[in-house]
Amino acid sequence: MFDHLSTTRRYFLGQCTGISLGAMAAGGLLQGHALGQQPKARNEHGGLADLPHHDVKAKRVIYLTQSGGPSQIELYDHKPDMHKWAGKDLPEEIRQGQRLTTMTAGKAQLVMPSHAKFRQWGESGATVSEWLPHIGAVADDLCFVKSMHSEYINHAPAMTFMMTGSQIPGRPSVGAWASYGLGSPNRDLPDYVVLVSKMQRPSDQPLYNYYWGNGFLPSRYQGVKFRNASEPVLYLEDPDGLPREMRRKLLDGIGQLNKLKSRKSGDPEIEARTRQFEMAYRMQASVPELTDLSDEPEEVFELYGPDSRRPGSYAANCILARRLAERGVRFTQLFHPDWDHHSRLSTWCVARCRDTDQATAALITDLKRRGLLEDTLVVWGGEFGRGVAGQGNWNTPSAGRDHHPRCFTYWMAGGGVKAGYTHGATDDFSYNVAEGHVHVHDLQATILHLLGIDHEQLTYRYQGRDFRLTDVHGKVVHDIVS
Amino acid sequence: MRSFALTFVAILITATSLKAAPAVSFSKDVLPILAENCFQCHGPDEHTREADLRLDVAEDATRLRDEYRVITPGNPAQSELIQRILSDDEALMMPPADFDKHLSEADINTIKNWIANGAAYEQHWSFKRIERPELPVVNKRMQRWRRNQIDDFVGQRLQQSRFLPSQEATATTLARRLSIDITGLPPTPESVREFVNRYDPADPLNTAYSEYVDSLLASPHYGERMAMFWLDAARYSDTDGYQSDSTRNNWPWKDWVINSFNSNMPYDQFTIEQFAGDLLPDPTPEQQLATCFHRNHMANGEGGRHPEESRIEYVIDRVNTTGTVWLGVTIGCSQCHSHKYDPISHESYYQMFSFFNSIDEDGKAGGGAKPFLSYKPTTVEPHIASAQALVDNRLEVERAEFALAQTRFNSWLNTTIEQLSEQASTWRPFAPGKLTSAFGSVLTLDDQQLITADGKNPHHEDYQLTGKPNLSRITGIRIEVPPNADNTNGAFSQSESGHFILTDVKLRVVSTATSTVRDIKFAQAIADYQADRGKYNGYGLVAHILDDDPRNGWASFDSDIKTTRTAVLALAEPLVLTPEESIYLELQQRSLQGSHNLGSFRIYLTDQVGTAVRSLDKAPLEKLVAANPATSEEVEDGLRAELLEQYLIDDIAYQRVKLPLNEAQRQLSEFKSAAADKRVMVLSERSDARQSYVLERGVWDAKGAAVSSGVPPVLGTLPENAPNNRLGLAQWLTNRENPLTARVTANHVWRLIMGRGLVRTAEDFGIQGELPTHPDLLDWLAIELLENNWDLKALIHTIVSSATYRQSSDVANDKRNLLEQDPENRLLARAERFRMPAWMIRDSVLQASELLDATIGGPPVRPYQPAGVWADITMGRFQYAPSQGEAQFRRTVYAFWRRSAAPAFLFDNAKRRVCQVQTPTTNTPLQALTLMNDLTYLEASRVLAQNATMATDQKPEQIAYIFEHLLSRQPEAEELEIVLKQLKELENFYQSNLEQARRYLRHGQPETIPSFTNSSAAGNEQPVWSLAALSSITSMVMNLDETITRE
Repeated sequence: MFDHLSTTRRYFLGQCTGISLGAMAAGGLLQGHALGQQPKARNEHGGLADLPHHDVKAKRVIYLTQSGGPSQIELYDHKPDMHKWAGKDLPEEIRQGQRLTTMTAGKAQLVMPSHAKFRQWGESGATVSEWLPHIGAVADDLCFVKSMHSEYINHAPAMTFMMTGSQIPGRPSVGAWASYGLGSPNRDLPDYVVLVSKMQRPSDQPLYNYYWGNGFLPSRYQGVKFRNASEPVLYLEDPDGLPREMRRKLLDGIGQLNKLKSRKSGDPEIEARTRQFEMAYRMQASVPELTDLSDEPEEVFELYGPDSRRPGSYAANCILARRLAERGVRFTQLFHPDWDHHSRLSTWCVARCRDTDQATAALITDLKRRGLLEDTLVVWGGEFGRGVAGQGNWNTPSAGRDHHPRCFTYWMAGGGVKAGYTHGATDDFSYNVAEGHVHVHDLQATILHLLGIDHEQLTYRYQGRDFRLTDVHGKVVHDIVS
Repeated sequence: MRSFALTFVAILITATSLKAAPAVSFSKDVLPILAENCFQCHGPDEHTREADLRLDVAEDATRLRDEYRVITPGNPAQSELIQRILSDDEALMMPPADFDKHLSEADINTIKNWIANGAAYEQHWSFKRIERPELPVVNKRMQRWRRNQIDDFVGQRLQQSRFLPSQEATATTLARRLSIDITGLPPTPESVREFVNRYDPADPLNTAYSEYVDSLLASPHYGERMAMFWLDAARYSDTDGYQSDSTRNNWPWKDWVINSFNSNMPYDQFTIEQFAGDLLPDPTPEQQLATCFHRNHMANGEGGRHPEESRIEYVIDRVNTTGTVWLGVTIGCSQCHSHKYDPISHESYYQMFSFFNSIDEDGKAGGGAKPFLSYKPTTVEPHIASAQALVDNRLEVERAEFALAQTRFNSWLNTTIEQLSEQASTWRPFAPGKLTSAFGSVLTLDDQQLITADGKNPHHEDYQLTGKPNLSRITGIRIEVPPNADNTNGAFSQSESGHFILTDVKLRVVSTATSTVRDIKFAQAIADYQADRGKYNGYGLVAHILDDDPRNGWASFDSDIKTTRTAVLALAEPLVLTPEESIYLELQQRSLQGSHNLGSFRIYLTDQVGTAVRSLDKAPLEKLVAANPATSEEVEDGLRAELLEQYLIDDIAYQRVKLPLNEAQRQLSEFKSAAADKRVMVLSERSDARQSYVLERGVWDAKGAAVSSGVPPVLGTLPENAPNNRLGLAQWLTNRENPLTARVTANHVWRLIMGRGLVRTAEDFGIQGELPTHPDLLDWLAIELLENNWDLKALIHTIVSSATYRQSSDVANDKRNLLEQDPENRLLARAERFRMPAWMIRDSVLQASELLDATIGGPPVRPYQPAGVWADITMGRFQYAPSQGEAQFRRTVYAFWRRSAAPAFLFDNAKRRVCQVQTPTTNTPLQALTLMNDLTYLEASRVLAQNATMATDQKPEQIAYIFEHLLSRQPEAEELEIVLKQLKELENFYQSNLEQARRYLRHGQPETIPSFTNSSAAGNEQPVWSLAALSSITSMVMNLDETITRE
């Protein structure tokens, strides 16, 4: 998809840079001061010609975004001695004035030990919750980062920060940066695909499309969200009563008439327009072929679990993610909402674990057996973690946990990260990072690094400033790179 | 036509011939180089400054340091700056080796020359006072070409660059271009014809042209066109944004904007009223309404959010919006630290902030987002009238069909009564062929269809039933939970109390033909008993078994344990299964308490609709059996009504007219309530002003030094006698001495009309922004604005009257080779050719098909978008119901704007989260899909085709009609040939596929669909297939590059 108009001027002037930004000076003529984004040469994948900056460890990313703030205390960050503190005040030297949301500000912070039991898994002996037995079983393939921390305590700013490096909406997301920098080997599908789990329950946290937005990058780099409808991409289906062979006829007519116009006008954009219509026609075939899982054998559905038979489910999206990886799509991002467990954690959090556990593990297994895991980076995590104090009455079933940005767990697998490895640790209360701090910008820098991108060099000039994903921060976490 | 324009002479130019004058200008030549490469560490920001050196300030750069000067005026060799730039010692070189910047040889020479010439500093061009530039004197050739002063400036640069302008565009093109640029709509074929007949390019008085322009500027559509730009800049939305995304009632402000443009309110007044209408003496309601401009920012109602943090964000948003729209300065950069390039300090940012800091607001969203103005909208009446007419019309249609349906019902009732004895009961027991569970319970089915779980009673459990129903369709499910001796206390479950909890019920279709399953939706659930959920951890209500949330559900607590509990679930739509398909029913108990699993239960299914699945009483048919009437006359009225209702739900012909009526009625009541007083978000001051502080790093609660209101010193001071508040700020913005507002505004107008700004970075006139392509022209336009009472229509009239504007955009066979020589059209040697904004394309096809509802102003409407777009993005919290009748065909400026899900059909539009004055124009396959398949285009193409067939029955003339309406011109012979050939093929197809043709014609509002498509009676095949073919051909022409392009 997204034609590369390498022979026309507007590929450089319009497509690549946005019309207003470029100060293109063909042959050095007619220079305005070259202060807008300079057009850059592109390779055959539509990526920047000077990329990658260094060795490529991961050719593509599958980002399993768990929106709402999964509780590290129930899922990964095991604190065996926490029960001794059950119901006691969280010591002030631990709390250190951490901001709370207005939901729990001013209320007593009484320690609520984990509702889940833990066990050690595999040769690496990683501790994973019994609520996630399938993920536990593949723990030897995972690289845990227990020392993630963020700066924002509310969902939208924290998720925006996690995705775009800034809490204010409007910057490009990590997938858009990857698409801008690297393009994608598959030109009949978007570089960056977003799959949102279909939930029956309306979620409290909407997933804003700027989480996968292009920001100020040209719109072709935005994530294309596949909908869970009969029409995965908006306006993909021809209208009732117009069969595909008639669509073909109409497109032929458009091509011929545009050609006449082009001869008269001389504007290369006209031919580019025809090519976009042709690309649209091809997408009408390639997208349904991708999203139709009927050619998957029965054992695949068994591997990913019963929910994978339900189109739109997280589990079905995991199968789709693998199909996208097979087709070379650069960046695939799943969003699974509803991890915001302020109350009734022991049943609510378990429900989300059930949605995701088997399929997540199956994706790792499936990629691995197909030889795709070695150059696919899988990332699992949300926008922040949850606090050790019980929200509501800590010793009743109705208790939950409030947001907590000071520490939470991520894990990665595949392309370029150490398998069966754990990086960083938190204090005894899973409250502060004790060692191996990994800030959100560090994670972003690391993801780009594994893709062969130096996060300090991938910049885009907008409103007089060179922007990058990691703002002016970010250090690659070399410790986890294999 | 000027003769020279027709005989172009190829002019060979060299790379240097286009360079500016040789004398080095600090602001034009040197400053950009220093800003780009040096200011990050040696610029205005004190926090990142290295070596205590400012290169942006003459005194600092030239002062004596120990034994050297960084810049020694007149002596490059004695300037440390040059030595460092030339150094290849990594420890000394500048920019530093690890800093990703690199000076070209040309850059270095520029700096050298500048120092050699005395290193004179001067202010950045856009911060200097605007002076009226002298008009350049152009050569004879340009004299002949010029039409007004604009052309003197453009001609001068062309002449210097040894380029000739393009020839004038054809009269047809000009008619179309002017109409699109000024009103955002294509001209009607009649007005094109009239203009072409009257227009004489050689007329020295320019009468016809000028009158045509005047008529366009007088059209109320001008205000709508300008408003679309303004709403993007104002980040206008009908909802708050963020999590709750509550609906606002700020649309009366939108009407104010449209009216202000239409009445040509001077731009200074337009500014003052929007900044400070409330502070004017005895403000009118409209002046207060105007201040809504600064309330159009997003508002965050997320639970747990600190309102003060939100409030600070809103104030910051106002400052940044002011910076972008009026000043063209990226002032937002100074929010966290002093600007890296422009001389705007961290402190001056918060002085600007202070102007907006004492609004009587408290950071809340939705209904709490005070201050509000109670305002009675004045633009709703015509929409109520039109909605009422639509209801009346559809009611008439519905009544007629109702009468027919009643006849059908009567004969059905008679038949049913005759066969009454054969009627089986409404609810049929379901005997699943396969019984499984998630956590080990073993289910058994007895011959009474009772399903019983074994004694394990796990903490959580899902009962899974798969089987084939013995019904041709399914419309509802009934769950019965009888008391059972095996349960605790002989009740319903083996839980401690004997009561049960059912957290969720799932219904799916499974098939032997595919591995995937289908979710089936329920419409509602009712039960004969529901526990008090407040007492039982949230478990009680039966409706909660449909919400996929284990934290709630249906429970029997406190009910009589001897009575069977019953729930009835209605499907959202009747389910019909294929022979390969079975149903899969899952009953989940995943409660907090756990263990409250059903002990035993029965499942029943029905195929009846209406009361049968919405009530626990006997179904109407069961009542009929009980009443056992001999004839239909004996059926009593109540039962007859229930039976009729049930019958009508299944009567497709009736539903086809009833649903549109419901929609029209819903719309009528929506418009009626829109006419009531609205609470519009506006500005008003608190009685006690808030103290403002510098916020360290821009963090809302990191207060630094206290500051008071003030404007950035580099941009002057408040005018004399101006109050130090928002009113004074607005007066300063529009004051003669303000160097930016008039330039920035003239550039906005130029960009809207010409396609690109004279300053290409419309949002950044600062040091990092681009220089104007024609600096003196920009200043001349700005002065015209200033001295002409900020008259926007006059400015537009001047711009479009120029010869520059009237040039052709064609570049084919261009001997000047402009495309390569000047790809970005910086010389303005041709007109811009660009794809129209998406909103303009939509409006254009509505106009071309004559569907457009031209009423000005009014409440928001909802153009078509694919089903589920809102629900998808908002996780089901908002549903989208497209507007009905004429309301569907209003201009896009009236489209409801949901911040979290902007209209799906608007590609490349500003996102309206923060202020955006221009967005890149891109070209993607997703846009092609929109134009091919969006219902708006589909319906408009059919209506336009119908109009063509009513105008003439000759095919070539029909094609000509379609071309004239979409492209404002006649087809050429070659084009006509292609279109007729395609038309023939489509006709052949639809002639032999009549059902396809009918389906293709049935898209859109019932009122636009020709009635003959509904009937398959013999004799009307020809209109069906020929219209289907012509409609598809019209959609083809609608998708041509030229149709969606301004040229």
